[in-house]
Amino acid sequence: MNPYHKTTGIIIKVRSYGEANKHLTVYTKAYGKIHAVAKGAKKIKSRFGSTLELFTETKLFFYKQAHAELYLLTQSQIATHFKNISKDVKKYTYASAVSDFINTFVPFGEKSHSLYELFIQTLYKLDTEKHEEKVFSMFMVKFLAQVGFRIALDCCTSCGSDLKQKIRMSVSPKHGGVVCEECSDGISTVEVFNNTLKLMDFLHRKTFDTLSKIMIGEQSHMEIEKVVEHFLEYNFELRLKSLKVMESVNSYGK
Amino acid sequence: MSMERYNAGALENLINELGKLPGIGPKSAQRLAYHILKSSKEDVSNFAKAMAEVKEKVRYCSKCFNITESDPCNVCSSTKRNKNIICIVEEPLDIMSLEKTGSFRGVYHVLMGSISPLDGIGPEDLKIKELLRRIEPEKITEVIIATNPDVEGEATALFLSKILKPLGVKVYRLALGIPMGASIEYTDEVTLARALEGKKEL
Repeated sequence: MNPYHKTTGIIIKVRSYGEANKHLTVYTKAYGKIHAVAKGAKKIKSRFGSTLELFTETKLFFYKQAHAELYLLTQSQIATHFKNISKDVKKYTYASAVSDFINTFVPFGEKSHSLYELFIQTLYKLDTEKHEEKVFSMFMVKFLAQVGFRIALDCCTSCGSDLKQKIRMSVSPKHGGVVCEECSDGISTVEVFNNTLKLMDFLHRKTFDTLSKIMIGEQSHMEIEKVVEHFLEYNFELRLKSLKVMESVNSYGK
Repeated sequence: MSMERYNAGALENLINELGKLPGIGPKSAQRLAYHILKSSKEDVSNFAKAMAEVKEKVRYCSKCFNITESDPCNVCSSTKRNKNIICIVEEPLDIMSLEKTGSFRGVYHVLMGSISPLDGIGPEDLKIKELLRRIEPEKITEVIIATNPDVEGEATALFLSKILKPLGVKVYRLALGIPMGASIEYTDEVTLARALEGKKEL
């Protein structure tokens, strides 16, 4: 097998490794999420320069033996640099949260063209648009579907009975959707406004370009975050670190 | 059936302890342990003493969080330094690099990291509150933010400037651009753009 590989990827995590090396987590087009090592990348005259900065889309050239676990980076070139993300704390925290979703819930080595497109589009919109909350909410809803969960709204996902449309509805991560009043007793559910669920369904079907035409209230953003977070944490048994930091950055000193 | 043990328990202990160090795998730990075993008694006791001493004597300066043996540290207690200018760094080791230049005569403040949501590190986990507490009593007029020139460091710098500027402090960022001895041909576009932004009149 050819040990040389070439692909494009987005840098989602950078760690120091040894004296002057960088250990990277990259979400690539051709190989999904991978670990890679860039030797000497921390040195001041490193040929990698700023091509391995967080959230940069980079053209990568690797070397990897058939049974080796790590990809060894030989060359890199910037494909897309999101300059506003590194110049705005708010954009930076949202981009970190988006990367955290990919880093935490996407398994290694599984490529997905649609997930890559969602990731790069989200970063592009965060970089260029003013309303980062809207972009992030749409990303979360679409990401949930990408990893295999779309919240069922038609009937009770526990007993199958027709649902009475109430102002507040109970969503069960265990059953994968809305549950009726009787079934919600004694199981872990998230209570949200019915309108939030309808909005999530709308966001799932639409593209990022429609975001400029709609308004989303703060309450809805919070509820979407709550539902998505519960769903992912229940099913993967993993926790996101970035959402709490995002909150503390926004509320610091207030 | 339990495995028969051929190694001495003390040696195994040492291998386990050395294996906890960063970058040391089981094989390296074995090599190091064997080296220690072969060293003279004096060398080994000096090594053990140095390790115990570093934990006992060295601590963080209560003012700037630099590594020090005396509190406040030598920089904070020096009479020759300009106490109205603070240089903010991420780690105590950054102070050593800046001190080597000999070009900075102010005092320091170590943040103990940078804002990194992916690692769960927010502003509350850094020494930002302690920095804000120094501004008024020490009559700080100027701040130079010397966090690393990566995305995390930049975001931390922006965050700090946002909270420091309303306090009437002049906020500077360390210059970014092409390193000495490098060539423009091989410099990537992001670094070059930063160098252009920070151009200087001759």
